[in-house]
Amino acid sequence: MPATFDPSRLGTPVEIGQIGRELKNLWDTGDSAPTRASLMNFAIYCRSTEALAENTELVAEFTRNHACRALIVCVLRDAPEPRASAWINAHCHLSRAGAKQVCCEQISFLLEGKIKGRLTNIVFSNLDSDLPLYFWWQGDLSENLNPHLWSWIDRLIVDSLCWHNPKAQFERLRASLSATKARLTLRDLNWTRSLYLRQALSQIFDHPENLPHLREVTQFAITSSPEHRSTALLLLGWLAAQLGWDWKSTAPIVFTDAQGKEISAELREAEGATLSGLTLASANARFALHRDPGSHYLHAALDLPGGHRYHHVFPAGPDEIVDLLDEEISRASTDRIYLRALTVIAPLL
Amino acid sequence: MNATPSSTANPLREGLSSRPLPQPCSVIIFGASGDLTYRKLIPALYNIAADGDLPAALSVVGFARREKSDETFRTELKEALGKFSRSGLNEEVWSSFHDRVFYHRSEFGDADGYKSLAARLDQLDEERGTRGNRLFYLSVAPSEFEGILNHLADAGLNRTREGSWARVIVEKPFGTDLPSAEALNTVVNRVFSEKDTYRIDHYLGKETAQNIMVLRFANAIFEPIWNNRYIDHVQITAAEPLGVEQRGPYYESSGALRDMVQNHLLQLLCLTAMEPPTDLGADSVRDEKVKVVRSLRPMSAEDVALNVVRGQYTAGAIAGKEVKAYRDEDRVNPQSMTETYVALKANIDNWRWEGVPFYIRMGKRLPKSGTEIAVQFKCAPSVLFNKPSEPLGPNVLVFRIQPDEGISLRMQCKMPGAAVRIEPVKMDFHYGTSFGKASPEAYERLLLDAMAGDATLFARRDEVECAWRFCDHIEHAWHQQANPPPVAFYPSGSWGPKEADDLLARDGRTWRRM
Repeated sequence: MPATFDPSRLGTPVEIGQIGRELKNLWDTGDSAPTRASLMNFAIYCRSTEALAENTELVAEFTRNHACRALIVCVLRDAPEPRASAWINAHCHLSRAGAKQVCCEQISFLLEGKIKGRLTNIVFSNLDSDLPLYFWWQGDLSENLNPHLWSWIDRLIVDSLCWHNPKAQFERLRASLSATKARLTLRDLNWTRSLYLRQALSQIFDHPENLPHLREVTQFAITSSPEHRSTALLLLGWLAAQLGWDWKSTAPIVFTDAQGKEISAELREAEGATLSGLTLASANARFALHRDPGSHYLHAALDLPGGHRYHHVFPAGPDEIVDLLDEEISRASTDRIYLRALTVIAPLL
Repeated sequence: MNATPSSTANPLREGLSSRPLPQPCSVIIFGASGDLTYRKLIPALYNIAADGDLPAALSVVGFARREKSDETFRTELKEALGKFSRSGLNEEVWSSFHDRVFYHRSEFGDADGYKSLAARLDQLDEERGTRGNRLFYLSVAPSEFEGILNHLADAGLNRTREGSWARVIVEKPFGTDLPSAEALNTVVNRVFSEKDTYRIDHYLGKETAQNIMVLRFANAIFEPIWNNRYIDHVQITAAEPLGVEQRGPYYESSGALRDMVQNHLLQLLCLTAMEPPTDLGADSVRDEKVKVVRSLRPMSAEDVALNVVRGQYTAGAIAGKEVKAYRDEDRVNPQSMTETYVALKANIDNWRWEGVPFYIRMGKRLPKSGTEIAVQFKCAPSVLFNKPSEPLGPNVLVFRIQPDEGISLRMQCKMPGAAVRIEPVKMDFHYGTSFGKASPEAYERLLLDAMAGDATLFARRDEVECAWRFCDHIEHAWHQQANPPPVAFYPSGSWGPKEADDLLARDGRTWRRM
């Protein structure tokens, strides 16, 4: 165990073989009568003791909206001696009615050294039965995410923003997805970062008078913060995939549509929000979404033929990682669209 | 890359779980000075806007008698939003929302007011792209319906150009009996077709009410036992500690049966008893609900005397405070016979429910607030554990509609120890515990549905009329018979009159303890 690591925030240390019994004691010895709630197993894989502590705080927040059994597994493969430690604790919140304590349990593990199959065993042996397994894999994928574990996961959550080599990681992910027969769905938090912008743009074109202009688009631009270029790329991939555009050139970025019309795109960088702007323009219409620094809303400005101008606001969506997770867990959706977008941006990775 | 935009489908919509935006439209609220507008309707529209679910091209026009400007109306609404909006008031959202709100002053009976409304709506169509789509919300007393609707027709506001629509939302009470409901329906349908008429029952917009169908038809374990072979009876309860407050005159002409049972509680009964619809289309669902109301056994005067209890609260205590009797309430007749409590036993004459009574009770000035449906199953056979000498309680599945929305199941369990001692335990699902997020208000869902043209959660004409037909038998026995059944009095703060307990006791049953 690293000398600087303070495990006190993880709760009560327990023997790994006694976790079930210790959890039972935890609930039996409560002062009042809290309600234990769980709708899913929520596992987090991380690689540092700092992350273990940070994830504990994140789970405390996450469980306000999502009742779960949380498993946080920290793997330090380079530790000199193989060792496994565990802690249990509970996150309790007042229910919406304000009268009842609702609690979720967290089991934390620190696995040091290299022992094959240990992560899989730890996860399998501590799942709350009959509940789905949502697995958040933090950082690059590794061989620890093996087919056995893969086959038990209902929803795999990654954040491609943190990947060191996105191209290699995406390829690995694709290969694993095509190899597995499991019903796993893949969720990328970096994709979730653009969700509200995609929703807002989609809602603009729900309007029957706006929709025809979508086929006439000749230019579009996305503005992101410098560190969120990959988020902007995914958004670009989504637009191109959904509108059936094919690559003409990657520098400058130019697509062609089914009729051979060219669409030029620009990725701009500006300090501020993750995604602060998106503009689509045709010869006679312009649709712009813009987010001001500090604002929680996207402002839409629509310039339509005949001098018609509309302004509208849409929620901008979350920025914090716990809110992104919250958003992700709250919705049931497919990874089909995401994978399609990923295919488009492969040449730019 | 297999998605190419067609001329009709929005290719960006694919895979997004948010619902498509409704078409651009103008929402015109009649009775815009009323409480409902400030407390429910505008906060609902504002919250839909804050969630990004309103079309950019949307106008809200308040229509009322009082003199005020657009700006005054907006200022009042902003103040109300600060108090009544579930998401609070955000300046960014408000600045985008407020310039879509307008006020149109007119008497309801002034034909010129409707002509100028038509001109104003045409102008808004031009300026704001609302495309001639209109949603009229009648938040007014039923006595005003006919006049407003006729004026709307005279001004051509019920007619639309091709590709546009005009719909009307009507608030309850929808009639006071079958003839008045039929007359109202005739008036409404003379101006708006049935498919464009949305009769609002906010109970149907509640999350738990919608969940009844999901629980029944999305889980394989319930439907096989959802019949007279396994279910002993059903209890539907709506209890509230409040008295009639400032609504004395209204309540005097209405009473608990008309105010709650004819609409809300019969809707809950329908959702509980209906057959699975062929699909989730509005008419498929409502067809099945209508079949249930049609199957309610009509009551003769003798049946009413036997199976219906009408009660009225007397003085008592609620939450430690002394409260007065109904007859002493403001603007209530001191000799009033109006019921503030009703308990009844309804029978559904179809194969599924033959012999399964549905007990319904609604009361004011009861100890607790709550609406629930309790499905009580038949007891286990009297062998092994359920011996006559030691009878066990039945399994009870409870849908809590409000507050503390959720579902619970009571079952029997062995107490730890060497002896076989069996006690009831409860498995409890609370929305608030399992899902941390608050549900949207019922009006938000219902307004969005009406804008989107989805009438599933609105009552259809035949539903309303069948429900009145059932209730009219009871009203008739109470008010038009020579020897009407007496009013049973109950002290405020109690669970209703003894006669209501007797109603179930005769069948060997008791009301569920809430």
